[in-house]
Amino acid sequence: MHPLEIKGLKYKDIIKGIDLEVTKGEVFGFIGPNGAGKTTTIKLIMGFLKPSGGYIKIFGKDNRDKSIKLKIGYMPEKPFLYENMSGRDFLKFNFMLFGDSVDGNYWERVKELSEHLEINYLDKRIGTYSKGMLQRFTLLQSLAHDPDLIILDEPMSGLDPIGRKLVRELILSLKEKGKTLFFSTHILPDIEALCDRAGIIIKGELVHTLNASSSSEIEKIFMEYIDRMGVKEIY
Amino acid sequence: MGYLRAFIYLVFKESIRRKTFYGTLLLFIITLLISRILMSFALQDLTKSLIDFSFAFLKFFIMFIALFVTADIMADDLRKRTVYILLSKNITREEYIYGRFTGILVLLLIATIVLSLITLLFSYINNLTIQPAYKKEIVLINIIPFMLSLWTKSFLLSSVVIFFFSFIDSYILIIFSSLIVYMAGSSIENIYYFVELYSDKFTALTRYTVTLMFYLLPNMSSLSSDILINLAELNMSKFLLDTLKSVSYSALLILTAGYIFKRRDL
Repeated sequence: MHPLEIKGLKYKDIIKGIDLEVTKGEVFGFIGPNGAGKTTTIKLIMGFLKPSGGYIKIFGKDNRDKSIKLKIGYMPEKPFLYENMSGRDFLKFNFMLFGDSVDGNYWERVKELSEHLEINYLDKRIGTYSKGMLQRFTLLQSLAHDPDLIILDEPMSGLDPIGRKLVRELILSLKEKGKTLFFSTHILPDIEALCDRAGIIIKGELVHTLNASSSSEIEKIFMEYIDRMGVKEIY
Repeated sequence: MGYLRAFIYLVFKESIRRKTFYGTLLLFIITLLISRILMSFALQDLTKSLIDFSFAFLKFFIMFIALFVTADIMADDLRKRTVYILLSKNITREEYIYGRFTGILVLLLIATIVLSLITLLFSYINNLTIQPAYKKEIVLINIIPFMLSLWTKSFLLSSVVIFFFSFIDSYILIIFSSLIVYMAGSSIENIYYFVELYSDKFTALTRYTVTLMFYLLPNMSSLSSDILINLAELNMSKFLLDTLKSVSYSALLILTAGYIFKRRDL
């Protein structure tokens, strides 16, 4: 039973067939040019979109099954949270939403993650956060319930070099704890530094899956597919 | 049921701090003062004028809050994609709809109680200054059925907004559709009784159409403020039946909204 299993996934004419398995403890990077279908695939995994073909299983269950949601941590590409609440208020809301299903260490984990991500602004209104601060806070709230499968859509975008370093270190520490990560990115050195495997998606097709090696090798393979499939605009 | 409590918490932490909420409250206080001025133009039945104006403003504001706060909250969640973060937690899409509705329900209950009591206190104090010849006693206890009726109608309007939200993306279209239903629902009761009264003057088709609309549309007309000064009698059985219809109608709309929302792409 894999944390994530995708078979024959199709969505309108955006996703044309994806087969993928992410094993336990693996960090899987999802790379592709602009408009390739990375975010759409993540939305399909999260159940925000209904596939027109194929299926997605998370820990062996249908991805829309409520019981698996506690095991998933998700961060969208451009997060937007309630501006009038403080970060702590939002975490409390999440805690109430999870109810009894979340263990008693929730607030301890919040403290630990805050230290990890250098977040000392939990009591400030979310509306006052900069883009990078919001990005880090959104990552924190997606991890506070200790999920086993973490799905991140462009987690590094909007972060300054320090923020990027902090998030990288956090991803590595999650990997050490045996968590499974699936994230999209267009930053090839991140694939090299963080991932066990990476998938290249172009025009809605998963064209190649490779073991993450050096970024120059990944770039070479990536560019080959870009040329082969006639993509003009790339990230 | 913990998620319902979470959504009540969210609505209070988020919506109550919105500037528009306080702007509406300030505007409400101003309109109450205007109703005092308008009262002074009446030649007789000053208490009735006072009650008519102040409670008409109250109804307007409660309905305004129900319409715009609900549409704002729901449309913002979709437009700003916050709904993705909420739905990634362990709630289903139906629970999101029920939770949001519960939060708004409680918000409207508190707004109705607070604004009604302010209006009642304002009217009561001003009534003391009216000369006995133009004055009527305010029956304080009747504020309870009045508030209940107003609250019921406000959450009925909220459920109409949420119903439209479940399949319409555009904020303007949600407001527009809800307003049409509200206006039709506010007048259908009067039209129905009018056609009933003069049934011989209407064709069978008109009578059937009006009867059908009367049962199909949500009845948005709330109790008359005349009951507060004993100018109209409270028909308890009609009131209870109407409340029951509104509650059932809301429940049906919210369940349907949950069903539709579960099936749509976000």
